[in-house]
Amino acid sequence: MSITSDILRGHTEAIILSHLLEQDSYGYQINKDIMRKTDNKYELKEATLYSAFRRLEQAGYIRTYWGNETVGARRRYYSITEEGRKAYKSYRRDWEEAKVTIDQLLK
Amino acid sequence: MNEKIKKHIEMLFTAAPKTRKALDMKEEMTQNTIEKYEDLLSEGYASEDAYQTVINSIGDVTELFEDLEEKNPLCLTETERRKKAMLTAIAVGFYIFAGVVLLTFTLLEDSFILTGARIDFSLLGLVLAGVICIAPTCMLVYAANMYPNYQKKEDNLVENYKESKHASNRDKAIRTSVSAIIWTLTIVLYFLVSFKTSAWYVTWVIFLIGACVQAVVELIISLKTTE
Repeated sequence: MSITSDILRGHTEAIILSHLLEQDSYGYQINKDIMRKTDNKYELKEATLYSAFRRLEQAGYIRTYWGNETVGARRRYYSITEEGRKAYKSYRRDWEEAKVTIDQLLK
Repeated sequence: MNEKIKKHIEMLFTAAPKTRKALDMKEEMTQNTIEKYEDLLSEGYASEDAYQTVINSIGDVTELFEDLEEKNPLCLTETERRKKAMLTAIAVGFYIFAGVVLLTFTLLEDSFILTGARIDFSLLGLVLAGVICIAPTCMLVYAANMYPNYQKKEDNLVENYKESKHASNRDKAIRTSVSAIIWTLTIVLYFLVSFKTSAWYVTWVIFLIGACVQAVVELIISLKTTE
């Protein structure tokens, strides 16, 4: 359990990018998506999520814009950039490699 | 209950730097938290439980605030400040040199007229002085743009921020008023001397002198702030 949350935290950026590949999204929706995909077992702390957003933004992997919600507070959306897609692809490759390596080592 | 959430987030952000980014993040966090809270209510949570859950899921925000510091390009480092002072000093030197050149050539003309030489030394002096003035003017403009006169600091602590903000505003105000006084005096002096002597062809030098005085005053002020 704790290994998983540590690893999740370590891959926050990649998880966000992967989510944004499908559609533009905002903080809570991304977290909901994580919960849905993990059967409500895991969610990220908001602080972790937001600092990942800032890092991704600084790296130019995502862009942000404010939604124009008619009811309630406006949401802050994020969308992935071309560089973000590239970064995700290379991250994905690295992760596949890491998975294989760790499996080999833990046998 | 929404108000309670807003208040809680407000409280979390009291330690945040007062930047645009921090305000945006506060709004973002508030919106996401309230949306989650309302979702929990619709799932059947009691309002107090839902409140506790969303507050807990925010996590440690102090790490966030470090990212929110806007790297301030207006902040001068010690070496930059020295460089600026140096630039200004050299520029002042150039202006004085230009003034001397002009004066020398004007005097030369007088003595050569006596001996009957026909070279227009006055014009030559003017052109030379003008050319000499190009370099220091460029330097001053560069110094002013690359390294603004006033310093703005944003520190982690709100109090620090306010304090330095206040100081920089005062500093800036002093500079502005001093240069306003200098230039008003220069213009008054220019017209006064020009009408008195009718020597319009040379009285524009007063503006150069004005620039010199301004630069010297700037230098003194920036040296004082360095201390």
